[in-house]
Formats: sequence, C-alpha cells, structure tokens
Amino acid sequence: MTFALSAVAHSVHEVPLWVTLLFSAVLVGLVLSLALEEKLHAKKSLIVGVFAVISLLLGAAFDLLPFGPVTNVFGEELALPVYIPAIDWGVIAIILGSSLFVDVTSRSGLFTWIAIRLTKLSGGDPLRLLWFYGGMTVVFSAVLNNVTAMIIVGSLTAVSLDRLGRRDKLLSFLLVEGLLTNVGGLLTLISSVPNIIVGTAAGISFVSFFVVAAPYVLVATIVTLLLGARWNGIHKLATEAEKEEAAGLVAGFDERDGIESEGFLWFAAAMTILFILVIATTSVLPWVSDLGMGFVAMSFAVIMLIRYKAEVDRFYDAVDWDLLGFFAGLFVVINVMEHAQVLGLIGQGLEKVIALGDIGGTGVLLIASAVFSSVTDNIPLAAMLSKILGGMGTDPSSPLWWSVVFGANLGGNITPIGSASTLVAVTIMHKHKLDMSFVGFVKKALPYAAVQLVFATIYVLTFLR
Amino acid sequence: MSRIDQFASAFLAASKPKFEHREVCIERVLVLTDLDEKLAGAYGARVRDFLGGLGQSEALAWEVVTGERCRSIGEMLELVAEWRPHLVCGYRNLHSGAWRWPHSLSDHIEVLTQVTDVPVLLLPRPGEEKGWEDATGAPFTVMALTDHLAGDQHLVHHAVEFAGSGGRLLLAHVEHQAVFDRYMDVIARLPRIPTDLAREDIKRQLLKEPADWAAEVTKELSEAGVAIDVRHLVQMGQRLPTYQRLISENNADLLVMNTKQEGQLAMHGLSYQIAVEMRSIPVLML
Repeated sequence: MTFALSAVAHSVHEVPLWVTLLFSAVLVGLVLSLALEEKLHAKKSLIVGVFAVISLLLGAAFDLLPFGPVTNVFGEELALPVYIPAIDWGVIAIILGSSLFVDVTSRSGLFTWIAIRLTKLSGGDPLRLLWFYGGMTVVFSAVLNNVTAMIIVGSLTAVSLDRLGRRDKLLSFLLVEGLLTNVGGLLTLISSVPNIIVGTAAGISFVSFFVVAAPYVLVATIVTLLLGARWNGIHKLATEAEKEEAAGLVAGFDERDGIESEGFLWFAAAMTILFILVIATTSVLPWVSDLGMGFVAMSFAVIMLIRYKAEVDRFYDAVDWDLLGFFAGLFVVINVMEHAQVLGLIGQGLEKVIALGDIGGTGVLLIASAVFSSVTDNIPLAAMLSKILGGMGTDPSSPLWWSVVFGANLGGNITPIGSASTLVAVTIMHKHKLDMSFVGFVKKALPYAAVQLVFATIYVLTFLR
Repeated sequence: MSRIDQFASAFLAASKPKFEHREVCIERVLVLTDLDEKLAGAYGARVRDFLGGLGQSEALAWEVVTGERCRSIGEMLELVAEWRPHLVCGYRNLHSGAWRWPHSLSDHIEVLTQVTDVPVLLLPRPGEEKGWEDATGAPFTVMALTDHLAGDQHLVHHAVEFAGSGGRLLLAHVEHQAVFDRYMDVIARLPRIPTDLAREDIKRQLLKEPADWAAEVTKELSEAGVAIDVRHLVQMGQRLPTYQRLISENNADLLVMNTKQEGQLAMHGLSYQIAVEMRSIPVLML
C-alpha cells in the first residue's frame, strides 16, 4: 500500500504508508520530547539533534533522501551533504545577526537607560508602573525579541518593586509581562521566530505584517493590562505622602550607571532605529532586497561589533547556540519528514480543517495552533504548517497564515512551557522565591490567554478574511 | 552568567541610595569624667572650647559629671536615661587605671556606645593636649569612615553637623586589601570564574559604590545650600594604617564612625580597633 502526496506541491515520489507512519512516529516522538524538555533535563538542540540523526539514518535506509550533487545559482554542481541544503540559512542568519546586534546594543546601556527612565517617569506609582512596563514589554518584544524583552523588563521589575517595598505584586507584574511578550511578539515580522518562518514562507512583507498585526496588538495590550490591574488589585497611590515617598525611592535609580560611553549610547540608539527601518524596507531596497533580511541582521551585528573589536569572542560566547542548533536540527528533521510524505499526511488533515469553510477552517486552525503551541515549542508547528500551507499554494493574503501566526504566538500564553519568554518569566519568579507551579501558571494565565485568543479569532475572521 | 543575571546586575547597580540632608539636633551635651569637681569643671570648659562652633553653641545645655556621680556603669546609664543628652563626651579608660596601657577603651565607654543610641564623642584624656591642641571650635575637617559607607545617612548627617559651616567633610572608605586578596585567591582556583575579569570587575564595583555615594552626598549638600567642602577618599589597602595615613595627610580634626553592628553585642570590630588606636584625634562614635 502506498500513500500518494496530493496536497504538498514538491517533488512527489511514492512512499509506502507504513514508512510514512514510521516517520510520523519519529515526529511525534520529537514533539513529545520537546514538550517534556524540562523533565528530560536536556537542551532543545540536543533533543532535536538526536531526532535529526535518527531521521537522516532512516531516510537513507529507506532511500528517501535526494543524495547527489546540488546545483547552485551559477549552474555549478556542488557536492554538499544532504542535510546542508535542508537548513533554511536565511532564518538562521536573521536569528544569529539579530541576537548579536541586540547583545552589543545592550552593552551600550541603551535598553537599561530607557527602562530606568520609564521607571522614574512613573513616579513609583504601581498602576502607572504596570502600564509603563507592559508597554515597554510589548515594544521591546517587537523590536528585539520576546526573550530579551522579558529578561530586561522582568529583571527591572524585581529590582524596582523591591525598592518600592511592593514585592507582594512581583508575581502579578511578571505574569502580565510574560503574557505581553507574546502579544508584542506579534507586532512585526521579526518579533518572533514563528513570524519569521510564516512570514517568509507566505511572502508577507515587513510593512504588510505590521499593518495587519498592529491594531490587534494595541487592543490586546490594553485589555491585558486592564485585566492585569483589576485581577491583581494593582491601584494608583492614594495620598500625596505615598506619591512623594514612591517618587523619592525611584529617583534613586541612576539611568547613566551602565553607560560606558555617551557617544556609543547615541550610536546604538541611531543604529537600532536604522536597523528597524532597513529591516522594514528590505524588500524594496536595491541590492539589499536580493541579499535578504539575514544579510541586514548580520551586517548590523558586524557594524556594532567593531566597537568591541578586541573582544568580539565574548559576544560569540553569549550567542544562544542551543537555539541555533535547535533550528538547524529542526529544519533537517522537517526536510526528512517532507521526503517521507509525513507533511503530506498532515496536509491532508489540514485540508479537512480548511474544508470547514472560511470561518470554521480559519478559526479551528487558529485555536488548534494555539493549543498545540501551548504544550510544545511553537517553532516546529510554525515551520511545519508553513511548509504545508506553502506546498498547498496558499495565497499570501489568506487568513490561514494569520491563524498560524496568532495561534503559534498566543498559544505560548496558556502554559509556562508554551514559549521561551513565559519560561523566562517563571524562571525570574523562581529566582525570587515566588511559588509558581505548572498548574498554578495555567490557572492564572488561562483567563488572559482565552480573552486574547477570542479577540484574535474575531479579529482574523472579521478583518483578515 | 545567564542573561537574566546580567540585566538583574545592571539594574541592581543602577539602584543607588539617595541622600537627603537633615540637620542633627544637638542641644544637650553630657560630659562624663572620673575627676573631682574642680578638675571636672576645667575639663568641661575645655570640651566647650572644642565644641565651640557646634550648632547654636551658646544655647547648648551642658552637664559636666564628676567621678563620684557615675562610678558604676549602672549609675552612668541611669544618668544618661534621666538627662537624655543629644551627645555624650568622655575619654578612654574612664574610671579605669588601664589608661597607662593604650590597649583598651574601658567598660564605661564600650557599654555606653552599645546600650544607648546617643553619639559618644571620645576626646583626649584630661591633661593631654595631643589630638585637640589645634582644634578649638568648628569649622572642622571631619573624616567620616566606615566599611559600609554607601547609604549611611546617619553617619553623614553627624559628620556634616560637626564640620560646621565652612568646614571640610572627608568621606573615607578603605576596602580591605587582605580580604579582597583572599577571595581572589579562591576565585583563581575556580575554573568557572575568569580570574582576571573577576578581579577587575569586583575591585571596580567595590570602589565605585562608595564613590557614587560620595558624589550623591556632594550633590545633595550643594543643592541644600550647605557651605561645606566635600571630598571623597576611596581606596584599597590595609585599613588601620591607611586610615591613619589619610588622617595625617588631610589634617583631619575629628573622626566620625559607626560602632554598632546588627545582631552583635560587642562593638564593631574595625571601630573598636580605630577607637583604641587613633589617640591622636577625637572620635565621634555613633
């Protein structure tokens, strides 16, 4: 018995169904292992690396892989290992370049300067602080990435609430900030990895992505902050004496403390703005459009590193190699799954979902993506669904892409393991001896996530269909 | 080091103590002696001379106590509780024959500093001019010193008060070189911590915190319109000899230091050492 690929439009060859099911079991094993990452005490890159090795060996054993030379753009034949072209190097370059750029820019003191200025501007009022930190989380998540945003805002929250004698509110602040990282992660094409993967696969430009996502992000942020203040009893300071005392306490923060050089601070600020502008206009810039966003990210990282030319190795040490290894391994696994027709099999299931109609199909895909993302990493989901939707020839304007984007990002708000940034929020809670179990997090976060998902579904079905 | 720790450290470093200038109220001064009435009176007059520029000195209420009135420690504490002074003046080896051997302070002084909250001004013994021969009334050059200078408002308030208008305030902090070396020696044996980086960063941060505090004090005093010249002396070294050198180099008239340590009945170790050994200068013990 054989399974013929119908939905995914790439090189089709017949694969026995039992072989496809065997590879499906490998994929399920990978997903389950990632979901149990904490229990296994193993890093993502190692988990996915093991499955990449197994997949490649099985792929070779069943003669599924296209061994042989690869033809490059010049028409030359190159002998490359089969797993090298399997990796989306464009995505890897964006992530590596962006993280290096953000790391060096952080060293200038720019982000701590902004964060402390906002803290002082709040006058130490808890409600104003929640709004300021919430807004900052969203913007930092959008401009940097949601993990860095959570680390910056979460660390400052712990220090400033401690100083203000409001440690009792730390857990609530960290929870709301954690949930907002995934809302902010929706804002631009480069704000989160699922956005990069889906946006690249769908061919959505940076500007189009922003225009579609921004209204939702704005509304979801306001609603989350309103609910966060209400459900956690975070109020304005009542008396003048309280206000004066709080203002005096936050006045002790010195925003200039981490600044090594005034000139480099301004340079970093200018480069950050320029980075966003160039990324936003990559698709229309001459020459740059051909080189892509990965080139832009890497170029900006290199320019920033010039400042620390004698110690660039320190920044290389700080790169999240686990994340990059994870991506590389994941792309290899997915590529093998494609050859084993596993994606075709899933695509058939997806076709049934899409067949539910514009409203049903889009809505079910969004919720299903969210539920899936809540228990395991949203990146494999985004990578897999993008490949399948791309293979089905889905139009770039289709709401299905947005169902995946919204579902994959917001699903991370349901459980602490749903996204890297919520995991960081829980890590900061534990670091400050705040009790937060898996179930405890779900109980507290689910109401917010449900509201965000309902809004997202309404938004996609009403405005993007 | 994780990135969480990196940013947490950056924000903790940016969270600095604020200084707010407040005047210290000194209206009642008690002078303890172990002398008879005549000698006690003469000593009291000398103390008045020395503290001539303190606050509204003409309005100060003075009580000079003879040896008869507080022979025991109990009597002394009762007297302090009853008279409620803002400042107690005394000298080393009060009611003790150990003054011949300069190795202790005396039970009276040690108990007084630890049991009451009243600042104790340790002056030269009667008949000794060394230590206060040149200093007669503010403005003084006052050196505030402690191993925890940053954030200590109480210490600075008193130092500013005693320096007086037009005086000089020296904020001194000496990081213990031997302790630092000991920790660096341990770090050098830990493969996970880069030794050179640790040495450089820890030393810089240790010296930066008191320097930042001194800058904050200078700024706030200037904004409050206090006419005082503030300087900071922050360095690494062996504490006692370094403080001795700083006192001598800067011609300090008075030392101000804390003597209490939380959770401890005895006087703070370094304070005790300084109080016993720095006999060439009056010491205000808080």
